[in-house]
Amino acid sequence: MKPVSASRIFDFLNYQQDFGIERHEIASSEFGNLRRSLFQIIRQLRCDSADQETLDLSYRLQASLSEWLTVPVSFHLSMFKAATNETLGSPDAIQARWGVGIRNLYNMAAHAAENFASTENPMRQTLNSVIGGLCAEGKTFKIYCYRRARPHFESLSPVPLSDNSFLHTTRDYRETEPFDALIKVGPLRSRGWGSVPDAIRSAPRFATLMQVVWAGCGDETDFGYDPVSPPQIPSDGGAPRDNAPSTIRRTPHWSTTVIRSGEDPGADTDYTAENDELSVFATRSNPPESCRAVLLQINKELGILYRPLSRVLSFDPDLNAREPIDVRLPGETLREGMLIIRSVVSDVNLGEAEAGEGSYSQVWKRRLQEELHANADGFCRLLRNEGVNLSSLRQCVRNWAKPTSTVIHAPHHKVHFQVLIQLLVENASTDVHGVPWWQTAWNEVRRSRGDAIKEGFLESEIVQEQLITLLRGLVPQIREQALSRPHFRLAIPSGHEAKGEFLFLKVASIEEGFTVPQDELNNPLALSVIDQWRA
Amino acid sequence: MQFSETDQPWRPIPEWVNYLIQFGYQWPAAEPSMKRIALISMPCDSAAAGLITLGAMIRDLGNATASNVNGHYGYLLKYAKQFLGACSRCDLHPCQPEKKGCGYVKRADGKMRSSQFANRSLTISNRTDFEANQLALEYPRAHDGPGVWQPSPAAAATVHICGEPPPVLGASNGALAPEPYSYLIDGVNIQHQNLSRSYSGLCLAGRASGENTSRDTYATLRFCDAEKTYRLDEMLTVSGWSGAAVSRVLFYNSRIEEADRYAFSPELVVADGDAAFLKAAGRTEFQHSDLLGVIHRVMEREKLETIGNKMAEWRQWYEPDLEFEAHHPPPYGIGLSILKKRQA
Repeated sequence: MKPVSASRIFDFLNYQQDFGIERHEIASSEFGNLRRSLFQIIRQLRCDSADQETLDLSYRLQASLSEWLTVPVSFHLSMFKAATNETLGSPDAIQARWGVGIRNLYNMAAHAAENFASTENPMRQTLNSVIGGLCAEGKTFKIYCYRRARPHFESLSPVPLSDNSFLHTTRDYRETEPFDALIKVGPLRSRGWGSVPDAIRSAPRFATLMQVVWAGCGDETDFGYDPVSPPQIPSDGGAPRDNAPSTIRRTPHWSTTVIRSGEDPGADTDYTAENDELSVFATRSNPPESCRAVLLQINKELGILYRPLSRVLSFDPDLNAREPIDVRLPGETLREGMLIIRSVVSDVNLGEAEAGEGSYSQVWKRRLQEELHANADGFCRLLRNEGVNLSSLRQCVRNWAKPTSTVIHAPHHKVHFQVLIQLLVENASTDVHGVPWWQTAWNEVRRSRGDAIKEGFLESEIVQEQLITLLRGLVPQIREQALSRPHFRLAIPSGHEAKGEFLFLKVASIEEGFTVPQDELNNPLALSVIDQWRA
Repeated sequence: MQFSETDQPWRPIPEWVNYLIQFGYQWPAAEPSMKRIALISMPCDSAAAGLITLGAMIRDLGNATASNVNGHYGYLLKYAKQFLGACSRCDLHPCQPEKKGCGYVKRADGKMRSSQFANRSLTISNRTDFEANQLALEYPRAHDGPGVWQPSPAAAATVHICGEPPPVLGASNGALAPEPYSYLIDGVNIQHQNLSRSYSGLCLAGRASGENTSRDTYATLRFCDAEKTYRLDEMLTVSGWSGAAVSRVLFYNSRIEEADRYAFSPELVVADGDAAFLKAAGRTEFQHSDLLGVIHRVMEREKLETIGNKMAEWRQWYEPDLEFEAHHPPPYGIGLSILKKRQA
């Protein structure tokens, strides 16, 4: 899709001038009780004395609650159970671990969830009516949501929704022609769950914003930020001024109409930021070693996080591409539909790992599943005692136990992997063809990920340039493979100095807005793990 | 003049296009102690930076002193000094001045051309005498080895560094046509000698995604009069973007952080995009230049805030230029903030 012409945008702005927000604010006593109970649980789990695992559990609960607040889910009791029981454990286990207070809150949440699940989610009803209304008026509309939230909209819409009905990224918005109405679920926030670009307010391409939001979820006060006129912090505690004196900004004028429906007797009558879950979650302090990241989703389950200005080796299947093989910036020059290239280059013997696909992982994964089935908590404790001090360890371990898909799910760090295998496999240090068993299994993992086996090998720019030259000579083969499969491997032809293969992974979607521990960058990860880092 | 964007039908020049050209044209001439920084925010991705540069270029065409002719001999000597003193002895390939720490920004390969030698390649001779300010160039001869030419400052006007535009054309052939420029600004007084002279005082810092992306973006905008069509990228006369023999706009490639001339210190830098704006702000060569950044608002909050924080940082030493802003209010949809250095 080509960017829309600037003249088209200016013509639209000159024609429209005034813009409207139709804010549908929904209240529900059942959902209100559910969210308040979960919010209290999350807060209490984050007390000062909380251990890392408890904090991790609170972040998982936060992710579930955030999703329910910003996505029109068709709520089922199983969703609540998946969010709580798998995270916190049974009610008795909750009481034993965190006391009767949290158990009581859990009971309240469970009761509310049961009631809420027995009726249709009112947010879906409202959305259905909003979409139906727009269709009846013959208006063009688009829905801004995460790609993963799209099925929830498709399942409620009274009319079939096409690709053209959705905007998922800032780039999508940048490239869209003006239209009549934008549908947005949740508050207007620039970060975290349900975030949307500030341009929705500062550079609208539609006349009306149809916002459907749960009561108590407030918009960011500075949403619509423009660096020519950043909001001024008032010294008198009053409302922020919109414009700094040194700026001239002819920005759109917005008028808001609020339409309220439903009742929630338990809610505070006035909006308070400290009771606004998404507002509170947004203030989560990130560990110092974390950094901003862009998600490149490669299939329904996996994604890779990169720093925003990473230079990623990639292939552009577009026949008109000037240079199909190049290093590109995620979200800028590296776009959806292109293929990430991960080079499995080695000058060391990979041993058996070169021959069998996942043969070692089958052994240790089977053992891991047995351990998790027998005593997941105990096994996690063993790992922690051995120095595997990962955040979300329990979730990580569950992820490692998943069957091999595009990649072999496993720890990212060699030392963690060694500990894991030594706990699982007898004779893990015994040599197989001259290489310890765990090391061979590790090579198998790295090969599946497309890691360079020899440390630091790819850090040499000269080597990278050689690989690019080599890849450019393979473009016809790459193009042929890319036509039939989203993910594939291509061996480096013999006769080249480098040995190994290239792993190609098609980018299904690109999403910004993550704050991630640096250790988690550049590796395939489960999307369920990645969700906790939306920031 | 008529206007077309992305092959759309011709139409009168729209207000936003006219405003941006006028903005560049009206931008005040650089003053030594009055550095200015401006930020323009657009509601969409656009060729706005190219249009502002075009306006500034037309302004410079009307300025008799805006050419590379003055100081050209010194420029060649400086280049010769870099070549003989550093680059000819450097064993770091490819050239990486930052790693080398030599203080230069781009490799000097010692090659020059002159219309007096039918544009044959000349090489800087080690007989160049810097104390006497005498440049010496070697030229190939069929017999007796290379000859040596010691051009006078006047004769050196025909000499230019390989890969760079000549400071002045030897004949009027290849000079720029005044028409598209004079049609865009009412009453502009183009200095005709400037049409055959290059200039390095105006810099366009292209997009961080590279020169091709920048050029492709500008190429989507076209103007036409009764006879001809003019593409914006060609009108800018960036070296290699058009058939023009002279270049009135220095191009700084923000992706590889390299300019198309070996040394530069422009009076005005127009930066296309947030990354180019921040990179240009950090370049030593631009510290005394006026800096004009053009961004669009359809990007992530982090990027917007990075720009906003930079502007806030500058506000410690700069104050709003309300006068210029008041005289050039932007059309609906464009945001503008101009700062000028505080006077002691």
